Amino acid sequence: MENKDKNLYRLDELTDYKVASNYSDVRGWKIVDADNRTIGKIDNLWVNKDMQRVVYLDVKVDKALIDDSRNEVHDTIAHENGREFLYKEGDSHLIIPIGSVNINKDTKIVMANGISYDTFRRTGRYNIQDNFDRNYERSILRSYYPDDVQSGFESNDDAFYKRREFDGR
Amino acid sequence: MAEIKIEKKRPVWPWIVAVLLIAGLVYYVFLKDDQVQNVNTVEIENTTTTDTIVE
Repeated sequence: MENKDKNLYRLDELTDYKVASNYSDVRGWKIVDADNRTIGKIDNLWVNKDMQRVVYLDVKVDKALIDDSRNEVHDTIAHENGREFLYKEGDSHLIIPIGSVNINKDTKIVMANGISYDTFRRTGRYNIQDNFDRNYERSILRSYYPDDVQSGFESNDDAFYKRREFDGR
Repeated sequence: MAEIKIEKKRPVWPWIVAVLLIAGLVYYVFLKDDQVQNVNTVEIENTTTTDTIVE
């Protein structure tokens, strides 16, 4: 399922749209976990055009975190005798549901409170040259919230975003 | 938890039309008057010159 079929666009693509007044345009801001460890920098905003709001932050993952996860994969391969490589070269972006973060306007830092550095390290990344599909979105949610199975998880339309992970209120 | 809403940008063309209209109005009111004054000045100089020659 293409992102366009889901009304999902990078905000940069929608030249006639902008972040609404009284909301922060967090592009370029740093994102950290609850322990203040750097996850990366917010590269773009994924918006649902019908819902007129941001649903994911697109994060360019910090090099140190990528190196950490590479080391983990190498260790896994060494110990488990050839488990398939998790990441390809260029897979340097993550998406984070908007309802999973807090925004500090004063420090211009976004904090992912409930998701740890280790979780981000283990979460599958995608290549910015390719679009992600609904399966990737599901895998992200399973990684961030492994115990949280709610109704609408299998939905292929906008009902998918009517979950608390996307709810900022 | 965070929420970021988006909105449609306001179109720019009404501002462009407004600026062009104001520029046109300014040109009509001020620069048109300047041209008329120049013509009058030339006429006065000619008159003076003619008087000198007659004397």
